[in-house]
Order: sequence, then structure tokens, then C-alpha cells
Amino acid sequence: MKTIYRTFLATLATALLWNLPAGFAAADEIRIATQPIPHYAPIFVAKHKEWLEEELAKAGAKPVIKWASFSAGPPINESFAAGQQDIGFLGDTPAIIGRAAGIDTRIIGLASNGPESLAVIVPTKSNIKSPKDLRGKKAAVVKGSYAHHLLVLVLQKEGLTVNDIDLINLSQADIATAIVNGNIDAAAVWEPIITKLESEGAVRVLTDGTGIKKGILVIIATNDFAGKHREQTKALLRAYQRGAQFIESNPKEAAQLIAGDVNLPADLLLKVLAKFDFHPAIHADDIDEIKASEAFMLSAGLIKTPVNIDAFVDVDLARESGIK
Amino acid sequence: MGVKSTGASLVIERLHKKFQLRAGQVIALQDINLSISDGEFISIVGASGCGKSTLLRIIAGLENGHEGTVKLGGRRIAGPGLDRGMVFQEHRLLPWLTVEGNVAFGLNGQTKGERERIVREHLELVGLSDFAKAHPHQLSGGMAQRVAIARALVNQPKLLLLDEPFGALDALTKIQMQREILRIWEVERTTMVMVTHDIDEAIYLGDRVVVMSSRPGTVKKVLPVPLPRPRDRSSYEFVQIRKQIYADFFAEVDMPFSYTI
Amino acid sequence: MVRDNNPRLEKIKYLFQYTGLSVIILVTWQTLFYLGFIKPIILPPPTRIIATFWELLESGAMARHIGISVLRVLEGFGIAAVLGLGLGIAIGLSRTLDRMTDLIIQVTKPIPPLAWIPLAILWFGIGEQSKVYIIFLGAFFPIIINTIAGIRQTDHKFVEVARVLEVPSGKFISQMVIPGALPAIMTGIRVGLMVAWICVVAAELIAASSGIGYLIMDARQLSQSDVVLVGMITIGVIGKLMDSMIKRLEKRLIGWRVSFAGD
Repeated sequence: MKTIYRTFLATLATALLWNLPAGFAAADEIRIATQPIPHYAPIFVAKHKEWLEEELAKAGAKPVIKWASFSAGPPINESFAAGQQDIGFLGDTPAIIGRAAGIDTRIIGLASNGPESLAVIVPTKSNIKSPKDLRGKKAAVVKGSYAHHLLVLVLQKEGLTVNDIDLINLSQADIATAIVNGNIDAAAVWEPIITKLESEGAVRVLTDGTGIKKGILVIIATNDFAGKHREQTKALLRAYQRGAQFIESNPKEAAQLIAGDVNLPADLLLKVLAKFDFHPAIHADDIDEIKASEAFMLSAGLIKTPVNIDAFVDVDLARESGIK
Repeated sequence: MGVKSTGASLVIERLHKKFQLRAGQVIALQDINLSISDGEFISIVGASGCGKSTLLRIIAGLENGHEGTVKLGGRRIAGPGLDRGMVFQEHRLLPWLTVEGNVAFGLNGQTKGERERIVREHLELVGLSDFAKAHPHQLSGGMAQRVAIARALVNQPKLLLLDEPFGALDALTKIQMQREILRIWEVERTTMVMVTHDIDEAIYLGDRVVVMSSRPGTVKKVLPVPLPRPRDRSSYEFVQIRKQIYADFFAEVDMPFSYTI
Repeated sequence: MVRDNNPRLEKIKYLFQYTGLSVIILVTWQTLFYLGFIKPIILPPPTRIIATFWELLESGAMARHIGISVLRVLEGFGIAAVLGLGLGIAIGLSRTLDRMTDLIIQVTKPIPPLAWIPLAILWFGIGEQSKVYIIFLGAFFPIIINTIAGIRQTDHKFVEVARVLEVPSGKFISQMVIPGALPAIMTGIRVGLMVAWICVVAAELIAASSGIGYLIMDARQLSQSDVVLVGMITIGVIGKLMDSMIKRLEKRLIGWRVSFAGD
């Protein structure tokens, strides 16, 4: 009886200790959070070509790279909050939300921007012809995503607010179903859903981000990681840039290479890639755009405390890494 | 003993009952022959497992699958019916009904006024008129059993079957209840068949005592009790009859033959 | 020993026993936050939670969300109760019906309401119906299963009494079977309501724009852990209130039970 009891206690203790939350990376590990969308194409190119490992080796490090895939920015925020990631790829809006909520990160580079890569879409047969027709309609977004911001800006241009429409929070996958079934009247989404649904003839673009929102996506790193492994961080940025350059010079090959990573057939992907600018360097107008996003979110009540964008963006790191 | 064939006379002929258990067959009753006349009070006494309860339940129509005939008033018994009332060892009163609700439970098809009258009469009969609105959990064991008796009598059954009705009561209440049932019997004159394992009770109450033996259950003997009521448990005749019955029981264990004095 | 001599002291002692643990937890929680051991995004301190709760209350948002969630739960639960009781009684009384439905019930029962969400969206769209459907599913199974069990375990002793008294089947069912089954039925109702309330968060995952579940999901997207916690606590408190109400109803309906148990 006593032995059984002891064994039970030992097993319980082992199980508990085994499952302690891993709030820290092992010394030679980099945990990267991505989303399987064309906006982050360079990182997938770099992954296939093993440029990350190359650049890291040049910087004198050989960590193990752990990849995690998420469906959108907010889940990435959660993962960062739990201390489970070091590097992340997400939109400017969720990045700011995370920072405002107290997640200790900084922006180290631009993942991409592409005003045409996010859009407000409506069913092909819809009688919504212009954004002002959105009044009183059901529109879905991933709340807290940068497409959410786009929708607000689009409404603002027509003098409307979210109170003039029925705003629904749905995941991108559910948005696809809902708009095809006619359960919602409109949605603000990002690629590859736009091209996918368009090619099926299910939706048309009401308006995209051109002239409204640049559609900036960022690369973030925890301050802990950037502080302890500055050289490695720079190496990652350089690897990303190589990926970007490859896409620019060999788009067809790139599309073939990463079609599987972003759930889009290569020929469609080729079209979509043309919508993006993948250069990771952060310029002054990019920072202005991010500041505009922050101001919007504060006023819309999406964040409760302001975020100092100048402090949030680490331009020095980007500059030092030599990216353009 | 001549048996008058009236509406309330019970005739049992060559009754056999077997139970199928996993281990095999058990003969619960073997060749039971019994005749009970109208208005009699019969006690059936025997040890546990002698089949006396099974016999009573067959008469009630709750068990079937037996061989032989059981007739009440010349008609075969096919199942339970209003002509045979039954009182069980537990009072089996419905806890969510009041006393009068429980007594009324067996009444169907009467007008409201009729129903109330019958219930009132029977509560008076068992001496519980004051407790009409009480709930079963508020009654003592003896009182609850009296309600059960009232319930069993509301439909004026020809036969009242009692399956060890006082077995769960304490010794003092038991004696009280025996007097009660006698009083009720004297008023209603319903034929009563009571199963008990209490020899004294059997003799005190019955016109005749049917002594059953066990494994297999048969009628060992039927003893008449020609004593006037109320009976004195310590009278000579009472004691003699008791001795006879005792002898039967302990003869079963010690000696294969029975003695009669 | 000063035991039952001082009723005032007894009352104070009980008060401590009931609330002591919660108070200790709250104080420890707040202290850990002040000392910097907990990051607010992981676990906001009680002060922040109370402040956020107050904000939501003042703006009327809390009342609105609670109202909508309660309404949905009552709708789903209402349908589950009617169907569960009706079918449960029918199946409980009929062996044939039981044999016919047993397989379907036993196979469907283990499927968690959450797993039904994709189908619910496909069948009912993203409106009220799909949410009410999920809530209905949650409440239905406890109710029907307990009802069937309650009917089934009608005491044989009572059934014999009914046979001997030639009680007609209508009276038999309404005065004997159903009152006897009420304890089990009430258990089913209580559990069903609880599960319905628990399902409200799952149900409001389906594209809701209001309700407590929506509040939590929304706050999650925006990394607002304080609102998430306020939502969770509200769900817990309202769940407790609903349960207490059913308990009172139970006492009224089967007050005889307490004493019957001691029979």
C-alpha cells in the first residue's frame, strides 16, 4: 500500500514538473511565430533555402529554429504573452494591441506592406456598390486585425462609424463560409482569401487599402531576445531580406517554392505576390502609418493605454543589420 | 369441512409453482390444496422460504406461470383485480399524496362527492379521521399501515390479502394492530388471508391456521382454532394449539415424523 | 470550551469559514501583483478587475450582454426542457420506443456541443438560431437521460399497488410514475440549465455581436485579460444564481423527498 502511494505521488510530481509552463527558450533555440499567408513570403523562402541558418552561422550562432503557425495576429499575441515566442510576424494593429496590453516586444523590421493585400469584399451579386451602402449591413472582421482598421477607415471616409453597421467578429475561415452562404453582407479580410474567393467568382473587392491603409505588417521580437541576442536578431533580418530579394528577382520560382506554405496554388500566388513590397527596412512614412494606426486604436477603444511608437520601433537594430 | 361455493370462497387445487434460477429450478410450491369460505379469517404460517408469500401473491394475481387452479367464487384468477385487496409488509403509501389522497388513490369512476364519502368512511374505520390531511412521513409505522388497510378496502374487495403486514412493527404496536385488524374484520366481514411467521399472531387471529413447510412449500396441516374472540394468549387451549404448531416446526429439524397430541 | 454558548460568535466563525479562503486568495493575488511577480496581461489584479467591471456596468454594456446571454440560454434551455421531458417520458414508459432510440441517444450524447459548431453554422447560419441550437444540445441530454432514468426506476412496490388497485394508466402515469420520477427529473433540469449556461460561451463563438461569451471572445482578440476575467466571473456568479433558483423550485416540488429518504 505504501509503495503504491509513493509511486503515485512520484508520478504526480513528475507529471506536474514536466508540464510547467515553458516561459523561456533554451539557450540555443529561436521560436518563430508565423501565419501561413503570402504577406510573409520571404520567411518561407528563407526557410526552404536555409538562409536563416546560414546568416545565423555567419553571426557565429547555431540555434535550433522552432516554427509555430497561427491563424491571425491575436493568437500570436496570446502566445507571446505566455512567453512562448521570440520572433513574430503580424499586422501593425495586433502588434500595437499586444504592446499596449503589456507584452514586452519591439518592432525590428517590416514584414511587408501592400495596400492591395487587404480589402473590403462583398458577394459578387451584392447590391452594395460603394462603401456608403454598408450602412446597416452585417460586416465581419477578425477583431483586432489590421483589416479591422481598414474597415473603420473605409467607413470613416463616408462619414460612417462601426455603430452604423452590424460588426461581427469571425475568423477568416468562418468569414469565407459566411460570405459564400450569404450570412454576412461584407467582410474586411486579407490575402490569400481575397484572391481565392475572387477566383471562385464568389466575391468582388469593394475597396482595398490603396490610398487608405498601406497594410503594414511587422516583424517583432521580444525585448528579452533582442537584448540578449542582438547579432542573431540582425542575422534573421538579413535572411528575411534575402528572401525578399529572391522573390523580386525570381517570382515564378518563389511562387512554386512556397505555394504549399501559404495555401495558394502557384499561379494564383504569383499574382498575389505582385501586390507586396517585401523590403524589411523601416522608413519614416512607415512609422507615420503605424502611429496613425495607434491613434485610431486608442480612439476606437481597441487599446486603453497609448503606445509610444518611437520607443516601440527599433530603427537602430534595422539600420545596424544593413537591411534596406 | 364443507365448503360453501359463494362469491367469496377461494378454492386452490393442485397448485404447483416453480422458479427458474440461474443455478437451476426451485420448487416454490408443491401440490397446494386449500379451500377458504366466505367471511373466514385464515392465517398462513411458516418459516422463511416456505413459499407462503408466493402463495399469497398468486392469489393476488401478481405472480403467474403456475400449474393447478386458483378460483375465487368459481372463476379463475388471471391477474390482479379489485376483488382482491392487498396489504404488503411495507405500507407502500405514495409520499407525495396526503393520507386521504392515498386512500382515494384506488378509487376510479366515482363522483367527487362519492369519493370523499368513501374515503371519510374508511378513515373512520381505521380510526385516522384526524389525520386525513397529513403526509405519510408524518405518521408512525402502525398508522401508515392502517392507511394502507383503508386503501385496500375502499373498493369493497371480496378477499383481503395481508402479506406479513405487521412484520415491520414493534412488539407493542403489533399487538395493537392485531386487535385493530380483528375489529375491522368484524365490521366489514371481508374474507381475510394473512401470511405471517409469528405463530402467536396466526393463532390469535385466524379461524384456521394453515401450517406450511418449506423446501418444497407444501401445506403440512390445517389447524382449526375454535376459540371465541377476543382470545387469551395464555389460555390453555391457546397454548395447546401453539404447542402443536411449534412441534411441527421443530419436528422438521430434529425428527422426520410429526407428533400430534 | 466555548462552543454553542455564544450564537454571535458562532455566526462570526461561520462567516470566516465561508469567506476566508476567497479573501486570502484575493489578498495574495493583489500582493503578488504589487510585488511585480505577475504580469497584468497574464493575470490582472483584483483592483483592475473591479475597475473594469465598474466601467462595463456604468456604460450599461454589462447589463446588455448579460440580458442577451440569459435570453439565449433560456430559449435553448426551454426547448431542451420541453423536448427532453416529453421524449424522456415517452421513452421511459415504452420499452419499444426505448429500444428504437437508445442507439442514437447513446452515440450522440458524448459529442460535445462545441463540436457541433461547424454544422450549426452550416445549417442555421450565424444568427440567433445556431447559438440557441448549441445551447439546446448542451441542455437536452442531461434532461432526457435523467427523465428516462427517473421513469424507469419507478418503485416496483408502487407498481404492484397500482396493479392490485386496477389504476387506469393515465392516473398511474400522472400520480405515480411522474411524481416518483421528479427527483431524477429535477436533477436533469438542474444539470441541463448549468450546461446550457456553460455552453453560452461556446455558442457565442458563432459570430455574436453581444452577450457575455462574445464579450470574452472579443476581449481575447484585443488582449484585454481584465475584461476576460470580468466576463468569466460574471458567468460564474450568474450560473450560481440560476442554480440557487432551481434548488428553491426543487424544494417546492419535491418537499416530500427529504422525509421520504428517511423512510
